[in-house]
Amino acid sequence: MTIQPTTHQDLASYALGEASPDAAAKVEQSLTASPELRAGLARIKDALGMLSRAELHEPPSALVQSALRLVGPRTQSPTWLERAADAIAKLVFDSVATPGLAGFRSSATLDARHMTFDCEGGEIDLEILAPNVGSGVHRVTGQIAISGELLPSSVGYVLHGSGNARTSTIDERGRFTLELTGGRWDLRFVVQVGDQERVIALPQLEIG
Amino acid sequence: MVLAAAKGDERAWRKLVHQYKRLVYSIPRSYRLSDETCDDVFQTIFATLVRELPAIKDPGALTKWLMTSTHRECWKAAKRDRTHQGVSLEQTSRADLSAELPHDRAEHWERQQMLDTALSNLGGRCERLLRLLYLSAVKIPYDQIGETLGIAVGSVGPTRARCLAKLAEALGPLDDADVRVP
Repeated sequence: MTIQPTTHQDLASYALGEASPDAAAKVEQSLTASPELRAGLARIKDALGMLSRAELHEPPSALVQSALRLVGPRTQSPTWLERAADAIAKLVFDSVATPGLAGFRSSATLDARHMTFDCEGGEIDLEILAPNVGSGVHRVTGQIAISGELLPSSVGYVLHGSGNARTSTIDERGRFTLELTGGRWDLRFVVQVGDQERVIALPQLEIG
Repeated sequence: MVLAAAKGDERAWRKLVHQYKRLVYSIPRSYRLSDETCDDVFQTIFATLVRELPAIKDPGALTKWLMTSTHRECWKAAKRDRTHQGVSLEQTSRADLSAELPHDRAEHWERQQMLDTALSNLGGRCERLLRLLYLSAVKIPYDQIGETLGIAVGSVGPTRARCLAKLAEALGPLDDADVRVP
């Protein structure tokens, strides 16, 4: 019968006091003949001693999460710009496209352009004024009305492709004012619906 | 990892937090500071580390920086408590808490960190088994451990021996002076 050599698992069982009398005798016999096994047993006993004296406590998960959030924007909630829109408002009126309509929205003059967008349960009006001579900046006033939901507190806007996002506050009546230079602009509103947020985007707005 | 975290690498920072979270939390716990104070110390140390990382030139010095900074923060917290409660440190269970980290405590925490890193490097069933057996706040019976790990109760003992042997290997050789002939 072949005698199996003593393994480090045998040494560990021996160190733990879990080896049978026969196995323990075999380990002891091997130890007398092998300095390597003696060194192995010393390492195992040292590891066992470290485990027995271990004083390592697991911190609460929320605490670890707070430390993880200290570096890297991806651990934070995505901003309005990073989120995909949940809904895109639909253009339902543009005074430039329909200059002959009656009423206040027919005031398509060279000085102002009116636009209305419909979104689920709401409406967004914009008035884009021509820039003052030499400034190149268009003043845009708007109003958002959402039935039965809290109005968003701000509107986010960014010159398409620039990554330079800005926000403007919305008052308690849903009114807001933006100052936009010529170019294509993305506008988004974050609306609180129950305990969830929905991002409503406008179709890209071409100014100037 | 330390250099990458210093440059704002989120993955490196995650790894670093997970590697040292137990050390940073265990030091205030060892002085029996309140749960709230332990949390404060933990948050203060990692917030300070984010700022100080670029200045830590030698990544190997990070464990020492964390040990001494955490100990110092515990000492400050205990001093604040003393001021608020009107009792001396000597009257509390934190009588051994001095301003500087004593040499023997530094060695103790260095070995604790070595053990924690070696356990993490084992990973899988061995890490879970050894942490359940030796690092749990309460003693967990074998049958519950077997159930948690999905192994038969009769296999817990042999698995422990196998994992202990692997841990000893992961911890590396002892200094010559530590090798004892049984």
